[in-house]
Amino acid sequence: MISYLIRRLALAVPTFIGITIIVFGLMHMAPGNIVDFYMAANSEAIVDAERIRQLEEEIGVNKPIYVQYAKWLGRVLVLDLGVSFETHRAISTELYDRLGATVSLFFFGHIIGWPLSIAIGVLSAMKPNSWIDHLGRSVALIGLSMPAFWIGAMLILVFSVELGMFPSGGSVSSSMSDSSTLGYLLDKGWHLVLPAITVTVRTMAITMRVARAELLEVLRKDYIVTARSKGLTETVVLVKHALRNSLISVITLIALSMGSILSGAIMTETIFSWPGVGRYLVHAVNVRDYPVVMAITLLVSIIVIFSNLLADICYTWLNPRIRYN
Amino acid sequence: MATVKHRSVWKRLFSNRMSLFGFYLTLGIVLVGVFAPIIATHDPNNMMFDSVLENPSFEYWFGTDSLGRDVFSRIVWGARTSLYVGIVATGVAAIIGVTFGCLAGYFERSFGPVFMRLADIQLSIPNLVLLIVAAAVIGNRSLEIIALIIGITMWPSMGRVARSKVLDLKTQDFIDAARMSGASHLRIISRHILPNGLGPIIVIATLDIGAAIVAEAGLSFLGLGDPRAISWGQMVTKGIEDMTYAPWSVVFPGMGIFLTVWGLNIFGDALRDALDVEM
Repeated sequence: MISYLIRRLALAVPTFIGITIIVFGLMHMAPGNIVDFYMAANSEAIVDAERIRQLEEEIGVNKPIYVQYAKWLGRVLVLDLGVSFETHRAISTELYDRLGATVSLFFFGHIIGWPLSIAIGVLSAMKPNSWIDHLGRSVALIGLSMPAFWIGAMLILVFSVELGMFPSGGSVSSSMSDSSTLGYLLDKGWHLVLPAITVTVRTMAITMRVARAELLEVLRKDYIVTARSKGLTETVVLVKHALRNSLISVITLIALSMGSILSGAIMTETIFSWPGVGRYLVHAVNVRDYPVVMAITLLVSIIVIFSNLLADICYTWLNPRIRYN
Repeated sequence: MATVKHRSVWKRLFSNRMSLFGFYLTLGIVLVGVFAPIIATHDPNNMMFDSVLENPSFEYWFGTDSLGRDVFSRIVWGARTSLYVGIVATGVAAIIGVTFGCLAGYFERSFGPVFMRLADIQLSIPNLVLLIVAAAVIGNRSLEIIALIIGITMWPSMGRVARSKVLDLKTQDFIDAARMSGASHLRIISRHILPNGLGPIIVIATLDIGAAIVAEAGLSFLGLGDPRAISWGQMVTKGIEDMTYAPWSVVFPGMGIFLTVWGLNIFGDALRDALDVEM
């Protein structure tokens, strides 16, 4: 197990290097550098060619690309993400301010979504072709076919514009700054409902489908037949034998789908004006704040790499029969 | 034997009411896209400033938007845009994915690990993030370029399926027979392996068209699509601004995306069951 872990970690290194090359290369292809950014931001400033050359020398953008890449990678490895073009603040500070919002959205969306969708998937698999199976599968397919931004727009239209039950965006009311802690928390929770639903719909659909398929697959296995013929009750067969084994794949899939979950978060944050990392990425792309774009791309990629690693570890841990050689 | 199997696939595919529904829904949207000039009731780009944000009526079936353009006609033309991007992107993904996947499966030792690393690297960057960054970098965003970058982000899943199918087929007797009869690598891959591994690729392609349509709509929604194209995603973005008093301008374009992708998903699922493909 330990040697497997070490090998698995070693494999993540070339993946990480590859990602940094892609990110750096893409950003290098992008039109304009920090000098252009400053000049666009202060259009009235008179900047002559000499000063531009001087600035380029200072920042190092006139060096060969591999030198720039090596310098940048060296800084990234000591967790120095650089400074935002736009605000001149350290990117790590900018991200820190926004991570909380993204994490709370992610957490509240999935803490209900995952168990619920697994439960529906299990019910569907237990009674294939029953009404609950048909209903669950149809709803899952419908959820899978709607883009997150449109789900968000429809929720705003119905629950915010028409019914006035929930706010249409933001993470907290502006009038809440001087209220009590409890009031503040309730207000936050109230703002969370619609974005949390939006962010979890697609994941729920995928989880439900996989939970159903996996359980159906496991229920066909020989050891289930054996367990039944031993005279075990249906509940014991289902919970102790079938469910435990099918959950391995479900958990793995959840960890593997981290990339698409993060993609959904970008759309959700944009439509609900949620002050998280996803919306910041879209903003940074629009104002061409390249260091921020690079930092966020790297951050989400590292999260994906680690969740994939975690999926592998969970898989080994939950299923001791798997041996990695 | 082959014809019997063939017939049973079609029978299985169309014996199910749900898959028939998915098929006809997809066919309907394709027809709308193909015959857009005939079906549209107005010029989709004509701004009628004396009829801005009008309610759905006999004249304007789905109302008009904030620039006085007929929403129904724009949705009809939007079908063409979406299907075009969906098909081109899937084609790109299929060409790259199947080529790489076949090579990785066939030359398991030399090309396999390289391919797996490449796929790993790309799968570690969430698709939407890669799309946003690529679209931002490329200044000139025509529909073709958008379709191309969507296709490039989608190749790893296609490649993995192709690879595992090749790995599976490679060990079978008829491949050994072909090799012993002196067939070249290229001939074995193109004439013996590919035709037998088409099933899963067709299933993935059907589902990928839907995914590409959602991706294009998402990029347009974020303002990173082709600004000149009539795109459902762009219509949703514009519609959200006027949502409080003109909900039709956001409901109907979204319905367009939803129905198209839904149809493709139902049909793709049915195809998977009929071809008995494991993915």
